[in-house]
Amino acid sequence: MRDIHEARILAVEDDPTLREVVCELIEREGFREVRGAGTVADALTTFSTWRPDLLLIDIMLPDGNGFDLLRSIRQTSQVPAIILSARDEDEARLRGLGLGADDYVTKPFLPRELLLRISAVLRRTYGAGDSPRLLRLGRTTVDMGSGEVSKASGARETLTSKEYAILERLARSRGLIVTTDDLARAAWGDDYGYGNALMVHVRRLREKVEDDPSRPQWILTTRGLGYRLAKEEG
Amino acid sequence: MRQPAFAKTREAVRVLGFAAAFALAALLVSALVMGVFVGVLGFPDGDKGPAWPGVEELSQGLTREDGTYRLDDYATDALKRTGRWAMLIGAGGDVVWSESLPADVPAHYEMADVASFTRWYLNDYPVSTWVRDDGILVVGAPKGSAWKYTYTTSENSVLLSLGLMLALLVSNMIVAIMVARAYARRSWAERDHARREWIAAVSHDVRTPLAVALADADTLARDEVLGTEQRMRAGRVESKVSEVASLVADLNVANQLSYAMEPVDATAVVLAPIVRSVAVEALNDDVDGNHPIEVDIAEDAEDCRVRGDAALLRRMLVNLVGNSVRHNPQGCTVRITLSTLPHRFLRRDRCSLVVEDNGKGLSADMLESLRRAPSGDLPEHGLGLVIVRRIALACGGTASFTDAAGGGTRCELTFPLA
Repeated sequence: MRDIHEARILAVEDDPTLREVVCELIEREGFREVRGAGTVADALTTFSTWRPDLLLIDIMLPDGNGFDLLRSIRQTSQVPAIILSARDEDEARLRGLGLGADDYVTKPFLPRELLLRISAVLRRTYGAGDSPRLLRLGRTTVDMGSGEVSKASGARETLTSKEYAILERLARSRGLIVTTDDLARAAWGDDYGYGNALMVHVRRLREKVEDDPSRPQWILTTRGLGYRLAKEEG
Repeated sequence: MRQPAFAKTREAVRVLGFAAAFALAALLVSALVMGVFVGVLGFPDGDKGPAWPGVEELSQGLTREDGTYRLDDYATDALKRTGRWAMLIGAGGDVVWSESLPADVPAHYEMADVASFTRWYLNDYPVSTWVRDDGILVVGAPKGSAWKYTYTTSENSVLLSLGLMLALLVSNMIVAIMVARAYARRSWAERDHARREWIAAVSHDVRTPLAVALADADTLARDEVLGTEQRMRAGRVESKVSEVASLVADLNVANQLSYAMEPVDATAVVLAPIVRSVAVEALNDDVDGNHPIEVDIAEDAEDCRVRGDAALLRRMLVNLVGNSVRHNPQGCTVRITLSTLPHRFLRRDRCSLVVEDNGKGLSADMLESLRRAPSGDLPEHGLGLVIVRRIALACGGTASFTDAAGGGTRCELTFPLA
């Protein structure tokens, strides 16, 4: 898939109005192939004939529930799925069942929130897609494919895997603060007890990408909370 | 808010009334059953038909004229009809008159015999006696027709049995109250369960239409074709629908918490990451920069674990921060402090989580209602903060709301460490 907008998206939702609204939203966002299904049976038929790349699944369906639908699809396919649920308790149940849903959205949701999550899941699953391969930090650029940093002076440096993971996480939410816990999870897969190690890695990362590491311009600290990758001016 | 105490008294009165009514009804039913027995079957020692005259009346019917005894017709008839016999024992112990006397009844009696048959039986005939000037009148009923028994007791036991009766009455009342309470409890529990299910169902069903409304409002608010005025209105619809949605979520949480005090998915939750994540989310949402958030997590509080449900604890913080932001649209600084409390002898170690702002603060009314002990009823407004308190309590902690030193709102939560 060269562009995530080529992805086929199947929205399984029993309420016809909401199904229509969701499909419209996704189409307006530029996704070209969107279909809806109102029942488990309908969803399974569409799934086997049309082979969607992403599923949106409502939990309450007239002829079964989303958990069972996801379970039977998981037997043959690892297609990414986002659960749409009207109950807060469902998330706990989902985890309890050990069903690999890729994300979870509680109704009602803001359209942009849903679209962000769809894009995020698609990018995560099908590669970088249309995400920028080159990260621009002023006159410095970072090749997010190879992890190579090119400074204006012509100097080149390579990021370690931890530094790369941290920068990648910051770039994904560029302009927003990311907590130290989130960054530790991105780098170590666990968010507990890496506070000092994270600080060390951020300092090294700054030495590689900042012009003046002691007065950072790009990787900014939000005291006590986390870091933020500044957006480019203009 | 005074209602709950009122309602409790009312319920107590109702239970007492029920018990009293129950006891009274039991008494009435007993009286009724007795009445039916007496009315339909007659007295146990009486016969059907005209009443048996009794030995005293019979005695009046027995007269002596010119040396011979004569029983009047009424008494003779009664004797014959009931199969009884009668005799008069003279001063010497001989039978001086008799009527229908069976053959196995002797004609002479010693003092010992008299003493015996007045108490028990005469040759197995149940007899009653009446002392006259001229002797003892004895009336015998057919064998096996009556149970004769003499009961003697001390004066003390009479008093005692009166007391016993009273004790029985009281214990009856107590049993009635207990039965009433058990019954009431069960029906309350059923009602509560039904209500809880109902709230869960409604808050579930309302979310799908809310999702449609929210999506449409958001789409309109971003539609470049529309004028600024229309887009502003659509934006307002969107923000109101969001408020309704968060209200529904609050209602759902309150519903879960009001019946199950212990959260279902209680685990040891590390507080610091939740604090950071809630703060960061609020900061990232704060586009205008009107609501800066300062977070101060003490070094030794970094590992503080609290027994509870991570999603609920998060909701608690989101509600607190959201409350400060929403009630101070002109802007305010929110400060979140997490620290451990000094160790106290024989008490579990605790941590303190303070969320305070320098905004305009809560109204006196609201503070008062938050300070009061939690009641079963939800308040009319400020559900968000009441839920904060409920969640804290459900996790074994405390919540206190006060005015902050600078004039804003201050909420201090303390939790026992897991």
